[in-house]
Amino acid sequence: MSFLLPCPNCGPRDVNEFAYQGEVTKRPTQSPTLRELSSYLYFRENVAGVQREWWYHRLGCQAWFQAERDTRTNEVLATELTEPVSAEGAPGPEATPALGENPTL
Amino acid sequence: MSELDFLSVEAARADGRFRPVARSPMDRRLREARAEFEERGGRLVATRIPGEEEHALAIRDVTHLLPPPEGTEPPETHAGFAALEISGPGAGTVVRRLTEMPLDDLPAAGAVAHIRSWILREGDETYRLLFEQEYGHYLWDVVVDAAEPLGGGPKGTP
Amino acid sequence: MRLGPRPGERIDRSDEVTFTFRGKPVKAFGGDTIGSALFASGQRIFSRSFKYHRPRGLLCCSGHCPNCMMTVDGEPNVRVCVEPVREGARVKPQNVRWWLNWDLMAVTDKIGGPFTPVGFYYRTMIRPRRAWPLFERFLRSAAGLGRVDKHAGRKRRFDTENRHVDVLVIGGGRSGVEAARQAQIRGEDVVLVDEGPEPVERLGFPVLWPARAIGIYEGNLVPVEAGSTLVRFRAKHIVVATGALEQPLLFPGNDLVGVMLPGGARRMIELWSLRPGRRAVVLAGDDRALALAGELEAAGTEVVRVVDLRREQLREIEAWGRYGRLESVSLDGETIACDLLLASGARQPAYSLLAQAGARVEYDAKRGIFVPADLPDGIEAVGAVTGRVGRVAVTPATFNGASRTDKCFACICEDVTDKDMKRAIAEGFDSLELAKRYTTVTMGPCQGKLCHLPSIRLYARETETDEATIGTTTARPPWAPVSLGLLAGRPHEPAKRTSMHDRHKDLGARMMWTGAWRRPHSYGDPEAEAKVVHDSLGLIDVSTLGKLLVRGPDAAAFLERLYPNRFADLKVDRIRYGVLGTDGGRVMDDGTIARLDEELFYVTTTSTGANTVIEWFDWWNAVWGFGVETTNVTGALAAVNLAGPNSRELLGRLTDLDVSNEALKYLDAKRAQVAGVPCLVLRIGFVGELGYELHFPSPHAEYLWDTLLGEGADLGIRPFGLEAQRILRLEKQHILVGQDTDSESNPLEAGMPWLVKWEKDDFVGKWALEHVRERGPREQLVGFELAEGLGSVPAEGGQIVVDGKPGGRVTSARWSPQLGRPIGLAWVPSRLAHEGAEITIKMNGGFEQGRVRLKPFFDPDGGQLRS
Repeated sequence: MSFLLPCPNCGPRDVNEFAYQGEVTKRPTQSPTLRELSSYLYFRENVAGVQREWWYHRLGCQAWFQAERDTRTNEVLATELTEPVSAEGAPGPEATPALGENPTL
Repeated sequence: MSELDFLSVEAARADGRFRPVARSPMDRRLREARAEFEERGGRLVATRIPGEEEHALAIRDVTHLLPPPEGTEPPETHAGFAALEISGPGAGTVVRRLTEMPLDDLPAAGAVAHIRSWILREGDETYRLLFEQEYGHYLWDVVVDAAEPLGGGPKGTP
Repeated sequence: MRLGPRPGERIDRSDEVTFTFRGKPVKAFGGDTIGSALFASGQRIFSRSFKYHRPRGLLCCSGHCPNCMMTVDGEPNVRVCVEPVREGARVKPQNVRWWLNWDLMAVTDKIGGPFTPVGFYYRTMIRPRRAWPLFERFLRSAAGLGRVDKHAGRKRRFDTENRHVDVLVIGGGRSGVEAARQAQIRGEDVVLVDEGPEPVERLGFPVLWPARAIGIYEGNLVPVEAGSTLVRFRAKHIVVATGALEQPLLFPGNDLVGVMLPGGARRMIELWSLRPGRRAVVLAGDDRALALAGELEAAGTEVVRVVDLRREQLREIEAWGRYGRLESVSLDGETIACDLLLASGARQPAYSLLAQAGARVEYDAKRGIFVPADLPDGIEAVGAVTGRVGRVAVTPATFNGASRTDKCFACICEDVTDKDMKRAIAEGFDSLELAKRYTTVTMGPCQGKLCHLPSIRLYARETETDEATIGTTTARPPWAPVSLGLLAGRPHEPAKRTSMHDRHKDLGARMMWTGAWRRPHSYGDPEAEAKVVHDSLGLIDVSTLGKLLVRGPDAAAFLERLYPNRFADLKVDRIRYGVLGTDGGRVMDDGTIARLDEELFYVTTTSTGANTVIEWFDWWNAVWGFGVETTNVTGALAAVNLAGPNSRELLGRLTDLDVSNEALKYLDAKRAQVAGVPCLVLRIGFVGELGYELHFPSPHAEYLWDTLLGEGADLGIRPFGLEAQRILRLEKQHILVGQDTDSESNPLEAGMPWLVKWEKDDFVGKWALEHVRERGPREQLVGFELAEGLGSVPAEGGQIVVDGKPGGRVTSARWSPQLGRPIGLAWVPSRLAHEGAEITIKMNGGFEQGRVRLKPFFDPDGGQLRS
């Protein structure tokens, strides 16, 4: 893997300067059912297409930011530093609907 | 003692019984190169290394001279940085043998020999690397090795 | 034969170079290659083929085919046709028993055919199984080409260099040079690379020569082999001008010495002033090959027949020879005596780099070649590689006659004949990818450069389809073989050292890895070191601990949201143990949190978890927007743990701080000068005795270490390492995250339910822990001890046996010198997780009985710790 990831602070750098932290997900707002919790913890969209994801510039400016990347070609369409979800510090919007059978913990 | 003094090298105090002395993480490598040391302001500095006159391309430990660039790293972290200077003909090539970062927009922080480092440019042929001191001996070895086929070698800071 | 001086020759006749071939001296000129010099000295057979050990001679003279591979100065598989001569080089043939002119292994060519068809190694030498060691020895010695010298030290130094350019041009022929020139006129930063052997016209732009682009990777990354340096180019724009490769014709005897590609003969004449043969037949597929006839005559070769394959449809070609050397060729029945046969059909574009970059490959039926299409952004193709190769002949798959006495090779690297290809298809390997893997066609040193198109055409005929339907196999880097040393470059393996590292080495410590850190395992006797901590005073370097400052008006609220613990009520100058959890309620890391001020916390983490934890903190901070300032001071501070009954005494000698038990209580944090060095003093007890952790600026580490050991000598101070620390912490049942817990462990089952403050609104992992609490713990982490005096210790990971089946596991175990028995921690089913329960441990080839102990083995109520 050697594509260039444009850090919002530092500009295009080799992807190995960064740590990848997966798809951007939505954390449940209040006590979720076991199914909702498992879905949040384990299930991902895993699209073959443009995905919004978290990156950390581990060996550079050490900022967290989000990227939009086409998972089929590794073309990075956009990167941006994000606004906090809420100034009050409350968690994010509603959880996505649960998927899958027999969730276990 | 103020709140964060325990992070400050300058807050050390000498009295009758105790004389704290600060060392660079590359201290042992400099000793192995038979460097001459001097104490300056509570720090040990390598002033001269035998044979250094032969090297037009010089590698110097400048940890005692260099804080991170203005506004980049919080002051509490400064004691955790070590610094190396590469100066002379071929300095640019040495740097390009250690990093893939573009060098046209310095100072910048990125991957140098697989660790995080700042790269600063002082002049046409003078570069400085600023990095976590835990890697002091490692980056010293890497830089001296990269400079060797280009006629480089360690030098003191007079 | 060496011709007289010619304009444009690359040899310098005033520069004499001598090397040895099989021990005998060979004279050469500067600018010669080893191959050209050997040819000039009369050498015609350069190697023996892979399977049949047939004699092979110069064919391509461009470093693509396998025919000239020899061992040079111990390095195997060197293509001597492009390897520059150097004084004193020792050149030897390879893969022969024992001479090029007479090879014992050629018996496989004479009689082996029926015994060594394609895929023979899947069917033969399998039974009797007992004989395998013999078969294996034979196969290993017969397989391969050159031999690696196992005792050779690493002689060459390889460096890696990075370069950023606007335009990288790959290929220095006419089109490449023109593209570079245009880029320079536009003011762009351009570099041209060419693999040789022909020189590049210099027109003022930077050229790397000979330098071979190995592949095109994501992000327009092009690694280029330039001698002993791997130059990694990042180009905004890549121009591929790699040209087209002459393809051999398939006919019986097409591998005889004297059968050459026209370009090979041309290079012999133009670069090294050699006459390729005395009497030549030219079978030309394009204008360039046709023009060669004139060059040959000018060089003194008698050209007895020229065939333009575009006009004349030959049906049968057969080459005849003796001892592997060409003597005549028969064309449609007419026999012509000759010692040189130049034959080629198509010029196949060298599209590999373009395909690697993402271009499509399609078949141009008019020209009978595969061409690149749909180039991605940032990649351009110019010249012959695009398929603009002029008028070329589309030759039939083979020129076999009715009767033929010799083999017809589809792949000369792997000795794959046309019969082998047909047989593979008949056996059912009827897709190109399968046939390739079964026959190994295109998988030899040339990697398909000379056999990919011919084998596809043969394949199309045998399966009664066409080239467009079959397509090509996947093009992969490297373009040509590269040494692993070049890819490895210099050894850059980051290792982290504490600022007291050299003191450990001075004291003879045995060092070990903890993640990327080097740490002292022990200073010779870990059990004695542990004993000293109980009896008098020990000192350990704990600088590797992660250390974070968390600051801001919301610092306490932030920590409350991250940890299951309560921190809002932690008083200033007090310390609390915390366990960091994931949103799944799993244990992630542990450490101590000290409150230095209302809005300032000092958090420690495990040594290997430091980076993960600060990334975790920063992420939640970014997501929640607390505005808390997190600062990583792991490297800025060194730390030591001073532990043992005499620790207070020593500390008191070195500081003005009141260190009495009332003023500096267990879990207090104070700031003070210790021996003149500003310190944060944390009174905590990981190793179970009275002790203090001192955190102070790294540059003072050696000084403070020396001072502590010096001033504490009369108190019996001794340094102790990680192993002693492990014994001591185990006596206190202090867990090690990652050792006693894994990615499934939660704090409720790991023996720390008291940590979890359910009344908090929300913290990371709360929901998951609520579910665990609801279903009840299934297994639990408990301490256990074995019989006093028992000599052996269970292995870490050892099984706990419940009702005759595995029911738990040991995570840590040690012999405790203090307690005189083996102790440990283990996961057991909940019903066995009570004080005194008997557990059965599988160890020593049998079983031992142990007892569950829920309180620390040493100083269970912590009286010693708080004294």
